[in-house]
Parts: sequence; structure tokens; C-alpha cells
Amino acid sequence: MKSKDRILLDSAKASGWHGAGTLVVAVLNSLTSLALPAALAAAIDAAIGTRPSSLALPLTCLVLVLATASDIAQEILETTTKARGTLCLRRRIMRHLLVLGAPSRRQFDSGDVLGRTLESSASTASATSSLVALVTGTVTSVGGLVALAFIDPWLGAVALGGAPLMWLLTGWLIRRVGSLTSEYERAHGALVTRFLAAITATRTIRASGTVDREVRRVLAPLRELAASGHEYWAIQRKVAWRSGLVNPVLQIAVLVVAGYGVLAGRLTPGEMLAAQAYLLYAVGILGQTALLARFAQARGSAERLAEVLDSPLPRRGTRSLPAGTGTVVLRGVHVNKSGHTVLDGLDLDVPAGHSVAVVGVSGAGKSTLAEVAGGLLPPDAGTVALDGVPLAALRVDELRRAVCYAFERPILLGETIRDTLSYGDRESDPDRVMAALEASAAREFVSRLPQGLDTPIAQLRLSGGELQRLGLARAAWRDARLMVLDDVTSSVDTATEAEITRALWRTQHGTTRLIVAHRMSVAASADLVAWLEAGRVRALAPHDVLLADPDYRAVFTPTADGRRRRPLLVQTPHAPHADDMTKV
Amino acid sequence: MLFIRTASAWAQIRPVVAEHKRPLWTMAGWSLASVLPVLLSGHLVAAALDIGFLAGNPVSGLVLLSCYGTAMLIGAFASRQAIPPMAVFVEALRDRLVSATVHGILYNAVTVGEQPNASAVAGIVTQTETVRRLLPNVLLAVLAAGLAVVGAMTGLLTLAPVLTPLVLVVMLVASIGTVRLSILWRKKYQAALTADEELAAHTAQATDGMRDIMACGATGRAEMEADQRFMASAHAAASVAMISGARIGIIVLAARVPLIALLLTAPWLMSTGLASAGELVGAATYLVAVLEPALRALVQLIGNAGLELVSVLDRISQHSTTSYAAPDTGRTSTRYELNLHDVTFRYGPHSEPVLDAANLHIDYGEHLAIVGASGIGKSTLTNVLAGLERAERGDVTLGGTALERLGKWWLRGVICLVPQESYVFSGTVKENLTYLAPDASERELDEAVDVMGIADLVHENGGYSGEIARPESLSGGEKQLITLTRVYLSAARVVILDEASCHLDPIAEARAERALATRPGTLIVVAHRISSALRAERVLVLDGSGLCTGTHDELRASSATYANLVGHWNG
Repeated sequence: MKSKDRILLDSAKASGWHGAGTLVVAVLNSLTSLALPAALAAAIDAAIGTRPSSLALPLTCLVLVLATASDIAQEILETTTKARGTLCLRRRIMRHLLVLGAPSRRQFDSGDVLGRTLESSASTASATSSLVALVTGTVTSVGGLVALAFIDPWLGAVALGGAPLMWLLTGWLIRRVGSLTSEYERAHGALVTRFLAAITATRTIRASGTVDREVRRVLAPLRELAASGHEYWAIQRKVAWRSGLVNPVLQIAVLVVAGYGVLAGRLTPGEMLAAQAYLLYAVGILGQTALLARFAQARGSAERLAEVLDSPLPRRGTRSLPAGTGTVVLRGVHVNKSGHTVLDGLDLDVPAGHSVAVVGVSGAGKSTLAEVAGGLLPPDAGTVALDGVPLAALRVDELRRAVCYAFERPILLGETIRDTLSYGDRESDPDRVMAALEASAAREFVSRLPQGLDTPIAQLRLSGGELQRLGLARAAWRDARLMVLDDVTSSVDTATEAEITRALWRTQHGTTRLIVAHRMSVAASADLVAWLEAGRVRALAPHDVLLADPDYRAVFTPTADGRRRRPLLVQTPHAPHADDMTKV
Repeated sequence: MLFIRTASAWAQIRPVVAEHKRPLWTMAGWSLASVLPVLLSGHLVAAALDIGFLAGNPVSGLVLLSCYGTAMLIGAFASRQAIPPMAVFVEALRDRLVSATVHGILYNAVTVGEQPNASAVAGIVTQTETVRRLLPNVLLAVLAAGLAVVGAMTGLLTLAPVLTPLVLVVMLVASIGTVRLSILWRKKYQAALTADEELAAHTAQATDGMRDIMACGATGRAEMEADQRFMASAHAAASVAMISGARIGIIVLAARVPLIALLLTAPWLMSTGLASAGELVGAATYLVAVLEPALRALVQLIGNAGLELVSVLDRISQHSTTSYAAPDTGRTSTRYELNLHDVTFRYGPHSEPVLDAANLHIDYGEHLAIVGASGIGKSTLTNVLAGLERAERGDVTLGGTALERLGKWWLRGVICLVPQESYVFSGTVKENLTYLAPDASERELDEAVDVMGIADLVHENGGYSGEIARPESLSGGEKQLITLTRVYLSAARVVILDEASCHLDPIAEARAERALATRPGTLIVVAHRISSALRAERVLVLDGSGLCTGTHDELRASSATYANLVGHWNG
């Protein structure tokens, strides 16, 4: 079974008794629909006097009551089935994304992911009711055909003539609409991604006065969107016309045959009315095209979900971390990003409890090294081990507890400042919050806020440096073995940076620290410096030792003519695959 | 309340309706034509039975039935013809809604400085698609269903007039019930829309902050928070469904009660000769085959889809209304020196003023560096200098004219403020580099690339026509290099870098600053690296007691703050 169909099935199962109820009610609806014309016919014949019967009227009333009840139930259950299916799918996607982690941002951009989580899941979940409606609709149609034949075999024969035509139309429709839906949603995702990017850059747009151009750029995918939209309607029109032709011919034919039947005395007037109704059901299969289209759309959306849910998850480790002091060992680490080799067989030994500064020119791979060393990004090849245990083999929660990160542009999550600092799955220790703020030189500006630690994040207007310091406080709050700081003082002035370095030394002494930075002051204050060049560690030594090398000095200080020496990045034709991770 | 909402929803559609009057009338015409066979069905069948088959006259029966057939063919053709104009209108409306939302949000962000939030994205993602899904049904079917109801009632009452009082009473009760339930439905639906918007905002934040969630080991919490929102959305949808169910029950009964009455009174009607067999069958046909489906369709269309449409359009219009912005004066200036006269400014509502009656003169062509502790207000000062924010007191002038009195768009082209966040968008390398100078020649582009030293970067991304498909795959430094090259190419007379090279290594930063300094015009650099101050002609120190300017050596002697900042620098 294709994975998109499996997803449709899962969403149906997730709706539980609502889904089953939809089926039951739909069947009941179908049965009452089939019974109603016959009951009405008998009631009319009884009323007219052609065929008297005392049961006809009460029976008709019963069928009407049941039909009404099933109508109401169907209306309710259709929506609740969809709601539950959507809930299940959204949960699955979110869980999958959270486990995938950093690589997910490489493959799917955020507008795309948002569209899939919100729209595609809802569209896929509607498939259950569409499918039920389709099936029971088909059953009703077949039932109608049988009932017609029961009234008069000629009627059945006439109605049967129209069946083959319908099958010809429907198969083609499902496939075309399905692919159109995927195309449409893709163009839509592209537009949303551009819009999201523009939203985060409003300061730039405002300062450059280019808002008109930005609006035009964001809306560029609209043309493609309109094109696939129009194609969709063109198909609907074709199908509506073809089925619209078959319908009248059949109806008149049946009425004529029925009329002759009344003339000949084979049918009663009530049965002629019933024949009309049953024909409506029998040809009702032609009107299923709208449902078919919706089902096809749902399949197209399921395909988009399948793309996310099929992306392979890293193998989850099961080992726990033994007692240790935070030694990190990297061996033969390869990382590829968009076809470029960023880390090329890198080896690095970070001794426990030491602070190691990672320096190198722009693009040498410092941030990637930081991501890999702390387990945020699994390398495409090679191993990373913390206290002797490979990161890929560790249990995820153990790994996260042992490593903490601070970024140059942290995204603050949670409700208040206090919440953001202790954001995580573990319980928060209130005393550590103050200590963390001290360690990142953030206590002063937080205490200046009227609500202090309880200030809601949404209301904060922070400068770049204040944001970085809160991110650093968030990392300092955790009692981690390894602290990875990625350019966390780039927005902070040198005096404050010195304060932070001192505070960190005081509070985090004994924690292994991996610090990515551009400033010589940072390299100088670290125990060791890992000098990165072209994706490998060129040297690992204290700053004073390395200072003798003019190339090293050149990383920080401009030379007399200001020319920048930058090694060429290595281009590889093939990227090593991630399956090496499992052989740990 | 309902009227206000409907009015603002209508404001969204009105321009598109005005432009597409002809397609809409075409569609309406064809829709009405498609209802024709339905209206005639009861009468024609009744006549075919009474005059034709029951009276032993098959030919007239056949003739009447073929009339019915022709009417149905016309109806089918009409349905087909109604689709293209409807498609034109719906696609145009979707285009307009999306454009209006994008335009509204970005313009508000730019003219007012209002930071848009992620729920704005929900406006595009879900709601315009809801409109696109619902509108075709509503358009094509509402006229047809309305006419069908009227036609069926007329047909019914002409065939069996004795039912008139009952039918009218039932219709009245059903209408009142439906309207009241619809009002309740609308309230529940609005709540569901709000839940969906909150969900979208939260999911957007979670997908953006995935890296931070992982790093904090907060996947459990993130999952739980997302789950809460997902469930709230599901519950809201379920409560809407309950009301829908009740409403459909009322409607369906409105058609079935007269049917039962008809069946009960039929023997009496026939015996007194008030109605013939054919007429009774015809009346039943109208009730079962026309009235009930049409009522259902009407309630579905107006009650569900119609109200849903109005609510959604109203939401979209909230996002797309632009706040009033003062008209552009269009004034320009021929001189470009900047002056601050007695300017007072505060960084945030809780801070000490950053500038207190400050005075500053910046010559045209100067290279000035601004330093100061973090959070002291350097960014705000740059905003004030660029005219993006107004000082509390005092004024800022360019060439003698106050910034507020100069033409806004002209000013944006002349004073270029480069913030720290570098905006690299998905487009070609050339588009990104020529963002501020769309008419730059290839030669100028080559020169800029060479001077800024980004030839390798351009080559890696496929040359000038290479597509940057995924901007977030570039490193922070690479993005800033692109932004700085952009500024180099632009025609701005005053360039203000607000920590715009903080992700660059010192060598690249030095190169960029030197390149920008050689451009004709003023260069103002805000940075944390003292190396920037060393390269500048003049340095401005911002600290608690205001502004201090001078050369590097002068300040080291005269300003304790500056000496402190410099003293910590080991470079």
C-alpha cells in the first residue's frame, strides 16, 4: 500500500467510534433512502385507492423518523470524524518533526511545514467521511438499481446502460485532481515561505523603502497558483458536462418505460413516483463526482504529509550516560550542506572541564561543528562521543540533559522570562534562575523591567545583546556537562563580554565549554583554541602558542592591505550518506 | 453586530465583484437556467400521467416527457456554462484576498513599525483557501436552490391548495428555529476560527524555533503545548457540528411534515374530487424530490457555508486594512549633512533617556563609529538618525531640512540603514545583490563583488544567475556579506551600519568597512569591535551621561567609558 493511503487509513482509524458511527449512520441513511420511495409509493397507492393497505402510512412515518434521525447524526459525525482525524495527523507530524530536529529545517522550509501541518492534515482527514459517503452512495445507487429492476425489469435494464460511462470518467478524474492539488499546495507553500521571510525582515524592508517590491516578490507564485486553480475548474466543467448529458437521457427513458407500464397496468402511479426516486439514486452515482474530487484532493494532501512522515528518523539510542566530566571526542566527522562539504573528516578531542574556543574564517564550519558536537545535528559520517559513549547511542533525554546550547540569535520560547529560562521537560529550580541571570550579566536589565522575571515574552522589546544574554542565561540555567556557545557575544560590547566571561568562569568552572567566536579576546580567555580551516582542525593549542603563526593572527587581525585570505571550500560530487550513523 | 461584520466582509469582495460584473451576471443567468427542469418536473410528470398514460393516451404522455427531457438537457448545458465565469471570479477573488493580506501586513509593518505576528500567516494559509472552497458552491447553488424552493412551494400549492395553511405555518416555525440556531452557530464558528488562528501562530513559532526546542530538551513540552492547541481546535469544531445537526433536523422536518399531512388527507382529497391521482403524485414529487433537497441546500449554503464565508472574509479584512499613513511631501534636499538639535530619546518605556538634549553634527562624507555598552540605545539612535523613529523632543535635519518634512521614499533611498538581521531572499544571486540598485550594470556588479571579496561566495551559489533556493542554508556571515555588497552598490548618500557585520570575521569586516568608506557619502558604523572605531575618522561614545565625540586617541584620554571599552580589547 502506498504510504499516502496508509496515512488515510490511519486517520480513519484515529476517529474511533465517530468514524465507525459515520459508517453506521451512512448505512442507515442509505437503507432508509432506499425504503422511503417504496413506502411512499405504497402510501400513495393506498391513499389513491389503487392498492389499499393499512400498514403503509405508519410504515412510511417510521421510515421518515429514522431518516431524519440519521440525517442529524450524519451531519454531526461527519465533522467530528474530520476533527479527530485532523488531530491525529497533526500530532503525528509534530511528533515526527520534533524527533527529526535540526535536519528538518534543511529539507523543508517553515512556510511549507506550516502549510502541511495546518492545511494538508485537515484536507487528508476529510477523506474518511468522503470515503464513507462514496461507499454508501455507491451502495444506495446499486440498491436503487436493484429496486428499479424489482418494480419492472425493463426499468433496470435502461438504468444499467448508463453505468459503464461513469467508470470511464471517474478513474481519470481522481488522478488528475490529485496531482493538481499537490501542485497547488506546493505553489501555496512557496508563497507562504516568501511571506514568512519578509515578515522577519520588516526592519530591513522599512529601512530600504522597498515594501512595494517586496509585496510583488511575495506574490510572484500567485500566477502559478491561478494557473493550477483554473485547470482544476476546467476539469470540473468537463466532468459536469459529460455526466450532465447522461443523466437526462436516462431519466426520460425510465419515465417513458414507466409511463407505458402504467398504461399497460403493470405499474401503479405510486410506483411511477417510486421509479423516479430510485432512478435518482441509481444515477446518483454520477453526482458523486464532487465527492470523488474531494477524495482525490485528500489523497493529494496525504502525499504531502507522507513526504514529511517518510523522512527517515535518526535511530534512537538507548544507553544512559555514565558518570563523567564531559570529554568530547569527534572522529572523521563529515557534514554536507546543500552539496557543499562543510566538515571534511574532522577530528577533535575536547578535554573534560576545559574551555575550547573554535575559531576560523567565515564559512570554515564553526557553527556546524557546534551543532554536531552537542548532538543537534547528526553527522553524515564519523562519530561524536561524550564521555566515551557515542551520541547516536545515547538516550535523547540523557543527551539533552548533558548538553546545553546558547545561540547568536536565540528564539525565546515560553510565556514569561522565568518560563523561558527554564523552558524544558524538566522541573525548574527557582534559585538557579537568578544564578543563571548573573552568569550572563542579564540580571540588571531584567530587574529594570516593571514586572521583572514575570514579564511576558510577547511584550519584550529587546536589543540584540539583551536577547543573546537571555539565551545564554537559558543555557546557564541547566546543569550541563557540556556547554556549547555559538557566537553568543557578537552583539555584546567588549566590556560586557568580559563581564560575561568572568561570570561564566565562576559559575561554569568544571563544565566543558565549546565556544565559537570571532574575537581574539574570546580565544585568549579560553584554555585551548581549535583552529578550523576548510572543514578540519588545523591545530588545537592554547592561544599564546598559536599566536606565533601568522596565518592564525590573520584570522583575527586585518593585514596592512586589508585583503582577506580565505581557503576555497572543497566541492564533492557525492555526499556520504547518513546510514553510517547506525553502525556505531 | 452581524451587519457590521457583513459590511466589512463585503468590502473585501466588492472591488472584485465590480470588476467581474459580466462573468457574475453570466453565471447567474446560467445558474437560473439550470433550475428550469426542476421547476417543471412536478407539473410535467403530473400532466404526463393524467393526460397521457392514465388516460390511455401514450402519445401526449410521450410528448410531455420529451419536453421534460429537453428542459433537463438545457439545464445540464447551463450548469456546464456556469462554471467558467464562476472560476474566473473565484480565482480573482483569491488573488485579491491574498494580495490584500500580504500588502496590508507588510505596509502596516513598514509605515507604522508594527511587528506582524505569525497569526497573520494563518490569514493566508487557511482562510483564503476556505473562501476558494466555499464560494463556488455558494455562488452556483444559492440562486438555484432559492428558486427551487419558491418554485416547489408554488407548484405544491397550485397542485394541492388545501395544504397551504399547514405548509405556511411549518415554514414559519422552521424559519424562526433555523435563524436562531444559525446565530448560535455563528458564535461557535467564530470561536473555532480563533482557536485555529492561535494554533497557526503557535505552530509557526514551534517550527521556527525547532532548533531551540531541541537544544533545550523541551520536545515533550513543545509537543504538549502543540497538543493543547490541536485539541482546542478539534473541540471547537465539534461544538459547531452539534448546532449544524440540530439545524438540519428542523429543516428536514419542514419538508416531511407536509408530506405526512398530504398522505393523511389524500383519501379525503380524492373522494371529494379536490385533487386527482396525478396531482397528488405531482405534489408528492415536489415535496420529496424538489422541496426537501432545495431547503437542505439553502440551509447548507446560507446557514453554514454563507456564514462561514462572511466570518472568514471578515477576519481577512482585519488583517488587510492598512492604517492611515500621512501623505508623502516629496521634498528633497541637495545637501546631506546630518544634525541633531536638542534631541531627547528613550530606548524603551522603562529606561533612562538615551539622549538628553543632545546635539551632534555629522558632515557629509564623514566616517563615524558609534560605540557604547549593550542596550544603551545605539540602535535607537540609528533609527532616529535614519528618520525611522521620531525623537521625543528636538529635531533631526538633513541638509538643514527636518527629516519629517522630507519626502519619505526619497529619504529611504538617500539614508540607508542596514540592520543586523540580513535579509537574503529566495531569488537569484543578482536579484539579491541588486536589491537596492536594480539598474546596476554588470560591470558595477563585478566591481562591487571584487571589492567586497565575495567572488567565492557568488561562485558557490551558481554565479549571478544562480538561485538561492534556501536562504537559511547560508551562514550568518555570508548573508551579511551579501547585504553589505547590496549597500555598496546602492546610491545611498548616508549609510548606517547597525551591527551589520557582527557575524563576519575581523578580516572580512575590515574589508567591508574600508570598501564602504571609499564610497562617496557618509558612513556611520555601530559596532562592538573596537577595530571598527580604529578605522573611523571620528568616534561617538554613548553612555549614561550622553554623547561624547572625538578621535580614538582623544576619547581614550577624555572618556572613561571609552577607555574602559578599549582597555578590554586584546586585538
